[in-house]
Amino acid sequence: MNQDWTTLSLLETLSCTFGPSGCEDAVADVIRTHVERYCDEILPDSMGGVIAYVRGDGTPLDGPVCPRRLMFSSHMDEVGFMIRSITEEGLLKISSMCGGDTRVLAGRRVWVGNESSQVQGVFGVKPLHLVKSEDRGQAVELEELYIDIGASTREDAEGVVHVGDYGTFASDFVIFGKDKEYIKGKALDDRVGCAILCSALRQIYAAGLRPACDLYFAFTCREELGISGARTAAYKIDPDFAIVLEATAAGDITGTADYRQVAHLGRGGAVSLMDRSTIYDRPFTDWILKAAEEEQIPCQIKQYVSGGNDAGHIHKSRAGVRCAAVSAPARYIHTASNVVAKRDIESMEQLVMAVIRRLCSKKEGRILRCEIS
Amino acid sequence: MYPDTKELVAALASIMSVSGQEEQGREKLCALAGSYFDAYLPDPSGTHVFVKRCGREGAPKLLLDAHFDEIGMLVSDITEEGFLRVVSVGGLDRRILPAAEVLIYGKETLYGVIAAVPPHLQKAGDHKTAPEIGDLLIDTGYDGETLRRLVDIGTPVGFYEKTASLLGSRICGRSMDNKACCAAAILGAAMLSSEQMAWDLYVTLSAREETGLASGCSAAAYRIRPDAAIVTDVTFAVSPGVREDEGGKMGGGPVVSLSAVTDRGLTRQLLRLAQEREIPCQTCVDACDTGTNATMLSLVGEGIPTAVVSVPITSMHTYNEIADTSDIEYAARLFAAAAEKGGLRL
Repeated sequence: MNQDWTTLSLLETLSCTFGPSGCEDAVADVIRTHVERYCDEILPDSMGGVIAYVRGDGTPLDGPVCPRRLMFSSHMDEVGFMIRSITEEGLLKISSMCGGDTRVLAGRRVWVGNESSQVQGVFGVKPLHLVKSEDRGQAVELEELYIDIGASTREDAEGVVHVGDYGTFASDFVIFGKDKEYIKGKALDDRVGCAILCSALRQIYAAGLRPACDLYFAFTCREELGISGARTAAYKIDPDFAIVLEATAAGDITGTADYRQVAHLGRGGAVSLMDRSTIYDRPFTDWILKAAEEEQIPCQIKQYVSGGNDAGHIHKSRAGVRCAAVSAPARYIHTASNVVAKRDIESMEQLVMAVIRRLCSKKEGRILRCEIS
Repeated sequence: MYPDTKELVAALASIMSVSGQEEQGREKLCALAGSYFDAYLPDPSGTHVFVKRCGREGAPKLLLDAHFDEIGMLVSDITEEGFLRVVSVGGLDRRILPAAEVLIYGKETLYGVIAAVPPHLQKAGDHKTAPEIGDLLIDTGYDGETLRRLVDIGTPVGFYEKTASLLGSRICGRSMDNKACCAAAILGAAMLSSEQMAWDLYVTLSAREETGLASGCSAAAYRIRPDAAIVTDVTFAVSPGVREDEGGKMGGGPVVSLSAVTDRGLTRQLLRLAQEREIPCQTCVDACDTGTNATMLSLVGEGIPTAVVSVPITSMHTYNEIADTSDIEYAARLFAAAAEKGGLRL
C-alpha cells in the first residue's frame, strides 16, 4: 500500500470538520487553504462552494464534442440536524437533515453550533428500564429525540446554542481492520471525494501537467438536501463534461444477497450507470472504464439503481452536460460511522489522474472525441 | 491530593469490565486507586476489595459497594466474511445499536462498528423497529479466517465511546453505570485520613451486578462481614420520560433511597449527616426494590443494615450516559462523612 500520506491526513481533517448542509464554511476553508497554491484560480461561488480552476493549454481540440471544460464535483456537506427549539429544561429539539433512518441517532454524541464554534451534546433517550417491555423494540422517533448539551435551563443552553444552529455527528477518525485497511469516520460521504479532488490538484501541480481542456474542481454545498450547490456551480462553469466523485452505500455484509450489495469495499470506485437522479452518459462512462482497464486500475460497476448525487443537477445544466460518476463504496453512510477502504481511495485517485493525463495528451483527447461522437 | 473527578471516571470507564470479566481490570484498577487505600484483597468472586483502616483494633466495618461491571456483549459467531454475531450481557438497549462503535477484547483489542442496514435494503416500516440483538453484525474489517485467530466465541465486546465533557460539570460516555459511583467511592476514601476515621472502610467494586445476580457483592460481603453497608449505584435523572418521583435531579446531589428493603435507621443517619455537613442530597421512593445490589447484600450472613445512595444519570444503558461530576463529589463527601468520627453510629 503506497497511500499518499497527505490524502489520508487531509481526509482526517475533513472528516472531523463541522459541515452540515447549509453550514459548510469550515470545510470550504480547509479545502481553499489546501488547494489555492495548486490551481490557477479559486473562483467565487455564491452558494458557498469552492471552485478551483486549472487552465488548459489554450489549444482546444477540434470537433463539436471534444471537451473544452471538464468539471469534477464533490460535495462538502454532511448529513446533520438543525436546532428547532430549546426546551425550558435546556434540551434541544431538532429537525433532521439525515435522510430517512433516524435509528442511528439515539445515544450518539453530536456537535452543535455554527461555522465558528460548536459544543458537544448527546442524543438522550428514556432509560430502557422505564420503557414498557412491548415498546423496547420500537425505534426512538424523531419527535422524541432531543440533544442534551449539559444545560439545566433554557438560558443555560441559549448561552452557547441558538435556534437555527446546526448539528452533526461527533465521531473519531479511526483506522482499523486487517492491515489497517479500513477507515471509520463521520462525513466520509463525501469528504472522500473532496480529498481525492484535492489530491488530483496536488498531483497536477507537482507534475506540471497542462491539460488540453480547462479543468474545474467544484467542492459543492447542500447535496444531502437535494438542493445542490452543484447546480449553480455547473451553470457558472458551463462544462461539457462532468465527473462526480461521491460515496455510495455499500451493502457488502454477511447475509445480504450478492445482487443487492450495490458495491464492495476494496474493489475500487463504483462507476454508476443509472441511479435515481441520473442516467449517465454511456460513451463517456465507457471511456473512463476503458482508461481504468488499460491502466489496470481497480473499479466496479455500481450494481443497484439507488441513491442520487450532484450529477442529477449537473446533467440538466444549461443545454445539458455529459456526466459520469465514480463513488467510493461506503458502509453505513448517513450514520456517524461511515466505513471506507483505503485502497478504494487510492484506486479512485489513480482513476482521476488517468482521466486527467489522457486529457493532457492531444491523441488521447481525440480518442475521447472519436469514441463518444 | 484527591484525584480529578472527570479524569478518575474516564480512567475507570476505560477499564473493560463486561460482567464476568471484572478480574481482568485488577492491575489497572490497583494502579489507579491503590494509593488511596491500605490494602487490596483479591476475591474469588471477581470483586475488587479495597480497605482503608482507622487503625483501631476491633473497629466496626463499613462496606461501601459500587458494582464494577458494565453491560456489554459476548461473541457468539464469526462469519466467513469477517462479521461477528453477539449475545447481550445485561440489559442492552436495542434502540441505540445500529452504527454504534465497539471494542472487541480478543487476543488483541479490535475496533468494530455494528452494521446498519442501508436504506435501499430496508423493507417498509423497518426504520420503526429496533433490530434484535441476535440479528446484529459487527464489522471488524477482517476476513473470517484471520478474525478466528484473533477472536474466540465468548470474547467480550464493550462500547467504544470515551468520556467527554459537556457544559458545566456534566460528563458523558460509556459505563457511567457504574464507574461514576466507583469514582465516588474511591474519591470518598481519598478524602479520609485514618485519624479522622471511626470505621474501617471496605470499598467493594463488585462483580456481576448487571446480570441481576449480585453474586460478586454478596460473596465479598460474606467474607468481610461488615457491620453496615452503603450501596452506591446510578439512578434515573429527571429527563424526558423520567418523572421527578422516579429518580433525582441532575446536579442536586446524591439520591438516598427510601425503600422497604433498606435499613431505615441507617438511611435516616445518612440524611442527617448530609444536612449537618451541608452536602446537597435528595431522596427517592423505591418502595419494593432499589434495583441495586442492596436487596441481596442486606440478606448476607445474619443480615447487614444497608442503605442506598445513588448518582443520577440520564440515558442509562446507552454508550453515552450523562452524569454530573458535582453529584459524584457530593456523594463522595457523604461517604467520607459516614466513615468519620461523628459519622454513622452503630
